[in-house]
Amino acid sequence: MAVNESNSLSPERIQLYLSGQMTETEQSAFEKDMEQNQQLRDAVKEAALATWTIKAYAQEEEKRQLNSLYKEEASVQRLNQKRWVPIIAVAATLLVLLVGYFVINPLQGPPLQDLMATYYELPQAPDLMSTDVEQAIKEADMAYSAMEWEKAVNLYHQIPQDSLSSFDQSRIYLYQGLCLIKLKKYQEAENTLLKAHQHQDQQDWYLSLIYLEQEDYEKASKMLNQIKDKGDPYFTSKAEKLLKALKEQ
Amino acid sequence: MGKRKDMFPDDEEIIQQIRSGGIGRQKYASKIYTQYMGYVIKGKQRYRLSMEEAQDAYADAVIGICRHIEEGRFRGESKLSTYLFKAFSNRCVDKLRRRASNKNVAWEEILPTMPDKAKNMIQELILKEKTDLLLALMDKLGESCKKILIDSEYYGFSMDEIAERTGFKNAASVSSMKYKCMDKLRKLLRERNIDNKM
Repeated sequence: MAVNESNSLSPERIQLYLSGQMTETEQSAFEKDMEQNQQLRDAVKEAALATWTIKAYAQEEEKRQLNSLYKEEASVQRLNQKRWVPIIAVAATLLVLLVGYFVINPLQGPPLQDLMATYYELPQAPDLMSTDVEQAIKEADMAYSAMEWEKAVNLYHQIPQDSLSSFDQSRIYLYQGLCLIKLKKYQEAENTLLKAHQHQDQQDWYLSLIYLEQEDYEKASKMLNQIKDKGDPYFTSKAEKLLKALKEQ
Repeated sequence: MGKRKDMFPDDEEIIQQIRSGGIGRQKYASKIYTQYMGYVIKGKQRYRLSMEEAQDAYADAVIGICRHIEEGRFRGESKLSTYLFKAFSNRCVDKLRRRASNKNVAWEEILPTMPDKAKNMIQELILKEKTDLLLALMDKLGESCKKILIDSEYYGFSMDEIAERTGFKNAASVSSMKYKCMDKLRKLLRERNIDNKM
């Protein structure tokens, strides 16, 4: 198979080789080319390493996600095991707890409000971006990491939106919204989160927590069911658990 | 029955969904994981591993099974549960062997379809380089690049699906962005002089 210089270095051809999709004849011709062409050898090495890096990174990330499922499931199972405690002991404990609860919080319902605090966990600050256009974002992200919510909101607010991709704009709205939740400015947080169009899963999840905190359980449940329907495994699992917790109240 | 089937999909459905790539691949990996999670305790006790090691081995086994399904190496000849337990047991033994070396990423398993010659070319590079440092380069790409590359190269989302997930106009703009991101990653690898180390 005669291949001219420019063809031999084409990324498509290299990708075809690396993905193992060449026929045996094509593959041996390609490898013969590589023996004679240092430039091609380097290009293949570089592409192979890049592919490996992406896949290895993604695999580690997926592993982390799966292992977080284990922790969640394990805690649910631990809770379920408690149901096997002798009935009298459970009944007595519940009675004591209920009496105690209503003495402390007369005429209030069960601690539905606590659900928000239980399920609200802050994601880590996003990775700092490498281009210098994003200095302002870096500062805002650092304030977010330092949990200086007020400062972070202001800094995110000052970032010039025009210079950002729509994905980054959406990310800024998301984190700004999360800070506002921490500041208990729920209405503002909702409005801001609604602009994070490209982070739908996170958007829906945190919106549902806001509705929960505002005791709009119907809206919260609707949102949680939407998350379930979309099928992102991480948020689906969280939404299912929260829905279950809501039903049990 | 329908509800139960939804919670515990049968092997055929799992295989079909994993093969379809994209969201099916993501969702059903989690379903396999939660369905057979009891193996973790079994592995921990049988191989005297720490909880963390057993969990790690189990996650590795689930991801490995997904890869076997994607590549057509597992077609449902045996029961998925049996196949998974065998894979998990092997991973537990690997954990015992690798305890001293503290290597998390088994580099050779990541690229099973790559021709041997290409594997040999990068083997030494990967073994010489601390894998953590290599993986850290991905974080320098920025969120959108990272998402596009992972969705396309690892989960097998189509360009159309990625466009929808990331808010790009269409598949063509995702393709062009993917090309730029790939280029950026290669540059980062080059800057670390990785390909000159051999």
